[in-house]
Amino acid sequence: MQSFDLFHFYRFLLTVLVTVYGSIRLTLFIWRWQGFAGRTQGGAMLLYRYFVVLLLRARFRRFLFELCTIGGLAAVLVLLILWHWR
Amino acid sequence: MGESSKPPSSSLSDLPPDVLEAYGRDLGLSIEPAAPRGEALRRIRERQELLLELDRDAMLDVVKWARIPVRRSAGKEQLAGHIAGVTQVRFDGLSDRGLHVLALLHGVDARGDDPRELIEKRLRRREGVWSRIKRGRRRVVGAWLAKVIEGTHADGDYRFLPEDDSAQSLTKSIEQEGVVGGIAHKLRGAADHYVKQKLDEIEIRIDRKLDEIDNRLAEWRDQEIRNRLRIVKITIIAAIVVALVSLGYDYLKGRHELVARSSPPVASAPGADSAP
Repeated sequence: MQSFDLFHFYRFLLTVLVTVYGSIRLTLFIWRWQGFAGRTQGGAMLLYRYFVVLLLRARFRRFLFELCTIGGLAAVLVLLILWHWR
Repeated sequence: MGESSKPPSSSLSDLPPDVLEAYGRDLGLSIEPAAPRGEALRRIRERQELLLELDRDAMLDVVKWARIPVRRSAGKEQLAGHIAGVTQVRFDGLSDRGLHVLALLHGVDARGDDPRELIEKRLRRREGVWSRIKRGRRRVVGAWLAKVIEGTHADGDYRFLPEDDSAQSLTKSIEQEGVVGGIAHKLRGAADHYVKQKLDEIEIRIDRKLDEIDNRLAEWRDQEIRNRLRIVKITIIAAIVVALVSLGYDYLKGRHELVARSSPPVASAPGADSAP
């Protein structure tokens, strides 16, 4: 029988908690937006349309540095995770 | 950009460079500020000569096809300015004479007896590769956006802008409606004109305010995106730190096990304790 490792258990628990938390937040976000977008009358619909246009008008070149940094960090994270199986 | 802005041909050469450039732009020409004056004058005169040759109805065909909002009474110069800004390269629904006018105003060689396909090909060739790719991308985004925002509905028929009838002369009004009626009509027209002017001013103020709100919302959007990206960055950094700690732990544990396995077990020899 494999011996109990506290650190491995902590890692496993952290993964489960973060995944569950992230999934719940994402589901709630989608649920709220679905409800908002589903309204076909009145100011809410107008606001939704304006919001979509406002988001589409965002210039991604302004966030290029941040996006590149996130890309680099994500690559480092993937490498570190892969290293665990070496 | 109306007919009233047209300078007489004789005084064209007396115009200051910036006015000349603006007039060229009104005619649909792109004159560089650094271009020599003679060159700008030559191009403007050529354009004026071309406009004399062009059929106004053919120009209106292009305007209707491109759905540019103009009055039916718009002059050739105004129409030329609008037509020169048309960048569409799908010519479905455009008459042959309209296509001919469009080509000439875009500086593309088109003779009366040239087949339609050839003129279309020449017009399309003017568009570079990058513009074509950009247009394709915009078409896809536009189709999706139209579905999200507008839903599906067919385009209505083209309609000209309403004519400005405030300039009708007093003589004509009196001739049509009598002295009292004519003067009343003229006064009503002046009052209407005043109200219209005031409404335009209010509209401009509202537009300015809306633009201001729009700019603030755009700033808020950028700030919000930046904050979200910062949160993502912090999360990834935290994950990297945890992964590093985990790697270090695995390394130390593996090393410890290796050392424990390689070192011989401490044998408790009989009688060792009883050594002198």
